[in-house]
Amino acid sequence: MKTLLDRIRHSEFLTFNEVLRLKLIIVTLFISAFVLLSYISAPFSTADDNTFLFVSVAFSFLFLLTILFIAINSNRIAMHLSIITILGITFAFVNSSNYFYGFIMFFVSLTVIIFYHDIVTYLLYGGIVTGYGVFYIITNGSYIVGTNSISPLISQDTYLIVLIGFYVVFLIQFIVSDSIYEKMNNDWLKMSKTLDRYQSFSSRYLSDLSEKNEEQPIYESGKFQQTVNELSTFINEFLEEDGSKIAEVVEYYFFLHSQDIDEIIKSDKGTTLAKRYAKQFKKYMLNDDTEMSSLLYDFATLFKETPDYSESRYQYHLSDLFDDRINKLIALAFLYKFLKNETTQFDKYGSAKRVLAHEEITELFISKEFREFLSFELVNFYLDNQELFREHL
Amino acid sequence: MQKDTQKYAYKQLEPYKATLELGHLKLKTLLVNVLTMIFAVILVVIMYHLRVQPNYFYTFIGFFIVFFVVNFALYAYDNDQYNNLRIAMYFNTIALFSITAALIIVFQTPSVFTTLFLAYAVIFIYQDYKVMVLSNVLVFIFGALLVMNFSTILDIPNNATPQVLLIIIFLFIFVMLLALSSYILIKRKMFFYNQLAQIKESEIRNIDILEELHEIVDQEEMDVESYYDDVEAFTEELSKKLEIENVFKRKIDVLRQLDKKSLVDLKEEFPEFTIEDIKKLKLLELRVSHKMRNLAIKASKTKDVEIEKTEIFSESQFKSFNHSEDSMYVKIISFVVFYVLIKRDKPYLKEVPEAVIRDVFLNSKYFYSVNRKVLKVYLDNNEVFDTIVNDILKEETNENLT
Repeated sequence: MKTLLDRIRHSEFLTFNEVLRLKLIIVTLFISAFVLLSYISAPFSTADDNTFLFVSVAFSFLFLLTILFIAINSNRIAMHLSIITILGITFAFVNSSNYFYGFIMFFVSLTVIIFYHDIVTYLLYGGIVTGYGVFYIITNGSYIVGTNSISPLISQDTYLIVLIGFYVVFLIQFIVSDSIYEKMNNDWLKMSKTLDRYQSFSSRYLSDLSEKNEEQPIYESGKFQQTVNELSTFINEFLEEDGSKIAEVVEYYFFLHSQDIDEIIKSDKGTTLAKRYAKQFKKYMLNDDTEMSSLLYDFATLFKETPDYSESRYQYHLSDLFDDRINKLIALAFLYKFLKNETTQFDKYGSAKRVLAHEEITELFISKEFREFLSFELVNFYLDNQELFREHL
Repeated sequence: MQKDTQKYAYKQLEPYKATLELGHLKLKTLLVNVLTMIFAVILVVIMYHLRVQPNYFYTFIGFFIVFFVVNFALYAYDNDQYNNLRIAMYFNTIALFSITAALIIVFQTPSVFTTLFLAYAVIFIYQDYKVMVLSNVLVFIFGALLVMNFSTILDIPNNATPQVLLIIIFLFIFVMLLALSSYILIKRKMFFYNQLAQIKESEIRNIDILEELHEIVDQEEMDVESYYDDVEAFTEELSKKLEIENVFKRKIDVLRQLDKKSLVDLKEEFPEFTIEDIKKLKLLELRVSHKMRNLAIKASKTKDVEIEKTEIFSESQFKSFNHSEDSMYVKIISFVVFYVLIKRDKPYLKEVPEAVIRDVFLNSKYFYSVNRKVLKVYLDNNEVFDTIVNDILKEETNENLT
């Protein structure tokens, strides 16, 4: 139970599949309560004994099948089974009694479906539950009209409005939250890729600097290798009896820097272990633009002096930054000149020494990506006056 | 291990997260109001058809008028809109459940009792911790108290079963499942806000590193003056072409002097501009770390950055020394290499003192980037680590110096 609570508390760090598995475990616990409840409520049921026996066996079978699929990590199938189980329980409750709590089961089964937070599943199963609920009220609604009801017809209509309203409101909630997350997801991915691009330029500048200063690459330094070896052995001594076993792997890590690592991973030669280490070390190599360099830049950003947050700090669209048209045009001119005169692109030799040509800038300005910076109005202005831009900037 | 993971978080995160949330909060407030409006209209029509006593009828209409007036006022008041909308969120939660409870007490029928679920569904849209707790407590307490104290609510002809207990059990399950669902969703939402805010700030800081390195390699700063000269010549020609007065020149003159003079001096020299106008012009400055420079660099790198439809933000996107698929040796070696590298001077980061490194590993997101066992060895023995690095690496530096 403690592990389950811990996983719920840290659910934001879980993958989608892990979250689904977590939800399945929770739903299974709740369904257990319902299976139990269906046994307890048996004496009040209007169904005959055979029906009750059949329903109980069917629930138990579905329930066990769900647990089996969770155990073998087939979480999507288990999810469908758990929903089918709760739908079965709902329909059995509703049909075997004329009581109000039978109707409440429609809300409980919708709640279970909502819990999985999957729009297609909600549309399908939620639609079935709501549809059946509407049919139930139309045909049997008179059984659950209260004694105090002024108008039985309006009472039935109220049931309908609440059930359909509940389904529709959650559907709206799904659409809104999914669109918000999708936008944030895409923003994050795009930013992450752009960040990689900045870092590959930074790495290129660093390597140019090393070449210029005729410095030995750090991974070739004997002292650096010795330090890494000693510290790795030191840590490993706390984790393994023979801490020095790691020394061979450290040596292999540095050896990989002189090899074509992709070739080693693909090659038929070499042991499986060597290939596995090569694959795992690839992201930590020091002679390439890797996760290691990215982590180093990221670490360095913690120590940068920066101004406080302001509204315009993460705004890049000229229309968001400036209301004044003159400012926008000056900014557009600066942007054009920067792209045309500063070395912002890799050349064919991999050096960051290329500038963009006028035609490339025009192509960029009219591209979809540039809607993040320029309005159509500014692009049209540029297109109408591009010869002036080319001539003077 | 005591830790405070916020200690090294970027200082710009919290205000930006509030900005992000504000956009979503506005949308959710509108949605809650539209849905409440629809249900209010339906309720009024039903009450009219039922010929409910006028005092009840007008009281409920009054409730809804107050509801919408308060929402309109809080939405429209521009000062501190984030907190206003949060107040509206709490107000709406309490108001909707109160109206629902009043409806149940007035009508005392099982069909009206189910409107509690509808109120819950509308409030669920907010996806906020405090509202989640409040709405779950309200739906459970109101539901339980109403069925216990107004026993006729659930009275159905020809029915003598003990429904009250079952209704309370159902309410409990309903509340628990939706509370857990909400909790998981809110955690993910907050995580997204945090990651997005973090990467936005990280972008600016990475641009700074990129430009600093660029200038070190080129050994010269960008010729900002040539920008002003060329843009001035360009705007002169543009003005001629458009047959307008050159309205750009004075602004470019201000720009030339922005880093040399104070705002007050500039205001005196250029009286036609307000202090606000001059502040806006600061966004056009081209020096390193300034808005226009960052914008131009970002623009130069955005070409062909595409997102596949199937790509999702997941654990695999995170960079760390603790990938689940890696062996323990790889986790140890990658951490050690990183540690030794940050102990060395680099063009973009001077050597970080040992005490600070330890503090960062303990009190920042890096706490989660390193395998827990490996990190524990380091945190317990960081002085040994420091000594080993100093003995070997500093020896190398000394050798190079001699």
